[in-house]
Amino acid sequence: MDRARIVLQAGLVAATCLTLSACGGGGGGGGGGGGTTPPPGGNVTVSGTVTFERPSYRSNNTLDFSNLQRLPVRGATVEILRSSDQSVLVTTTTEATSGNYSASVANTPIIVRVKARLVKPGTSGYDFEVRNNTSGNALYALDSSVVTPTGSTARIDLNAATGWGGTSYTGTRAAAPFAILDMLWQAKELLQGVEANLTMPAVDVFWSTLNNSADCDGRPDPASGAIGTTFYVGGTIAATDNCSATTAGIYVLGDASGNADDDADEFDPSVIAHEFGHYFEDAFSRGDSLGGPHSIDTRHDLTLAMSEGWGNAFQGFVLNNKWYRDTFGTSGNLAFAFDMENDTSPYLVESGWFAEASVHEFLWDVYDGVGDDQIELGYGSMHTVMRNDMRTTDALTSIYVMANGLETRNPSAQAAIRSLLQAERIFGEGDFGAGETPVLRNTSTGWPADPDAVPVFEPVTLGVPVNTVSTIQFADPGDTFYQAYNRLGGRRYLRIDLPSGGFLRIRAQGPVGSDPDFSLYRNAVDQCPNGGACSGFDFSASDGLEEATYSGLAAGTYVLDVAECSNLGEVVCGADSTARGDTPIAVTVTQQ
Amino acid sequence: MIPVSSQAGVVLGSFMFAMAAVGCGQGQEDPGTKLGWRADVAASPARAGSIRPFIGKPRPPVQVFLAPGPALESGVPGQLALQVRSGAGIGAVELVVEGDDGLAVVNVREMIPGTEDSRIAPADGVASFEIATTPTSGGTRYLSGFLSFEVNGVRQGLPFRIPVQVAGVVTAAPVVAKPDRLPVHDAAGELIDSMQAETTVR
Repeated sequence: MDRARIVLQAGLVAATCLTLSACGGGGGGGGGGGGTTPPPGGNVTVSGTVTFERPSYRSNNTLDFSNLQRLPVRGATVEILRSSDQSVLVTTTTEATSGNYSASVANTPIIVRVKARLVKPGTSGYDFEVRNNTSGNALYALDSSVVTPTGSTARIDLNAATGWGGTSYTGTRAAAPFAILDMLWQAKELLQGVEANLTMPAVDVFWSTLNNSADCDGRPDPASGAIGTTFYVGGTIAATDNCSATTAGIYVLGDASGNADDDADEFDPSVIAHEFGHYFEDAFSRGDSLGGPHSIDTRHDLTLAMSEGWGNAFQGFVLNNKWYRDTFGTSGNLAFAFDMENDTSPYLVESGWFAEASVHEFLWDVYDGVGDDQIELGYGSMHTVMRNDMRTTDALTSIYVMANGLETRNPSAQAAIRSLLQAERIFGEGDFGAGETPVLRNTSTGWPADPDAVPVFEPVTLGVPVNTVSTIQFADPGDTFYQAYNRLGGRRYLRIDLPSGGFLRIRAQGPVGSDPDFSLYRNAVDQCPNGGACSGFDFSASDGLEEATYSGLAAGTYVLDVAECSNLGEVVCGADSTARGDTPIAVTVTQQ
Repeated sequence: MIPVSSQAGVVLGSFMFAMAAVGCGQGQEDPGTKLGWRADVAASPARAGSIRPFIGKPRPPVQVFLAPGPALESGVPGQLALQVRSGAGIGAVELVVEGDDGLAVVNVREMIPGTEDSRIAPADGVASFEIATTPTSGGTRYLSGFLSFEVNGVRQGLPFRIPVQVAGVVTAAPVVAKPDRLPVHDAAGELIDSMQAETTVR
């Protein structure tokens, strides 16, 4: 390897060598098992417990492989195979609490196979699987040794070991898929705990030891493991010449190869549950989030703030823990962690309707017990809003819709809800955040004021121009790829009420050299203009003018998403665009 | 002055610097590493027709990125300017940097904290490092590592991997990781990645 490693400051590189009692991935011995001699040709009752190992957390939120938990594999598919031809003699599942299984099979040498699959058909059903995206999307399975029963009963216990060898992985990382599967089980339990008949669309989780933080031309390449980060995607991303297709699901990093940038997430329940929270949005609610990179101290588009704050809070609900924890390093000896209860400590973060930290702090306070606040509505209250109000709002999905739904459905808690929101500097009311106060400079994070941020949804009077400004002041400096794609102010939102529906003409006028663009949404569905592409954002002539007409619109409330295209970065406007920065745009909506 | 060495794993020295509160974006992001694409993704009826890249995990509020600089060329000594920016008020920073095959890192030196960002008050918020390298291969190379730091007395960290474009002939062989096991079809034809369990028979 032509590699140089530079270390600044002692202490880190001399990584602590953990002494570890964890077993490797090797199988135990096979052989005979069982009690009394079975009758010739009779059946044998095979039972046992299936477990997986998970490293504990240290007090500093890093992983402690010297302190392994052995936990039951719950609800997984168990197949008992005839060892000679691997045919399935019987299929069952592990019990929901103990990880126990039991089945009666013909008396023959057998293998017990546990598939990383949770499946239940019909009402309240689900179908979750953990697959290897770098190995043909193969389903992970845990196999026992070959066992020849010697009695009428045989107890065969299986354990999925971590494979950790003390300073690195030396054995099969069999525990990983089942640690992930356990998070899916816990998330399912949370959802069906408040909605017992909830039937869950199938979703796969893709994990591999090869999944790393590289990418392929700026996109994931699941076949090679270059997935960039752990993420959720709800649909298929087609293959390109260089990169393999990405099918829907949750992709999880598994890189513990010994390099400095190692990041494996299978033992980070927060991360898995966060992504499951996005699955929940797609499957059962609505998330208008733009996606893209995000952080707890950034001023984001309000849709992203809601979605990511939801993901952060959701993992807390699943784990019943106020901490979000994400470990890094070969042994998980580094961590990014924050406390949702304590103003996202240890970090100083953004507060407001555009901040994911405010969203998760608010949601956590609604969930947790009365103590530091005067409210305890539990997960079910937010589940109800997500399943109903969030799906149907005329606005875009945001903390306003959540707050409005909670207030409407829990009137006795309205004062407490308002108090929590105001603590997060969220003052707007209703789904559209009416009456929101100006966005001021944050002296803690250094972000400047945004004089054009409110009204959050500027009401449009037909025929009267509305002046707004698209900005990149909350983008990361030098980030030409994303610019203000998902940041506060890159886009501005206008509210258009059409009492009678029908025809609409929209005209956006910016300065010469600008490229104003817009999209019209109703319930977040893009309304296609007459003779134009549905998505209004593209690199086009910089004449400063964009016009479109719409016919056959239904009566109702619409949201217009307006931006200077170049301010949304290369991801939207292409590599030829250069962000203009603050760009005034005058929008005129008429019905003539 | 921080002592230097090109030997792998050598501890070069100690330093600390305080990073005052500044605005920042997601950690470890760099334009070249961004995961975004014009997706044909129908992830949700929401915002149908809009671009919807991946929905990934949150990043620490610390950025590690390369500042624009002269292009690197294979076989020619060059420099990279690595910057660390945080809105979290971090300190006690520890940085580990590695180059991949074809990007030999020979020196890392802390520079005077940068002030070019208009959102950042002078002399705070950004730490800059000059990385001396002699690429031995053209193409997309990777600079990777991790950053460890203290924020409000709590140790935190993040890994990073940043692509570096190098002009010249690609001589470094692409890294093709071998799978741990070969998948097999089970009796029902399903593709299985079979892992051996620790088996206890009683």
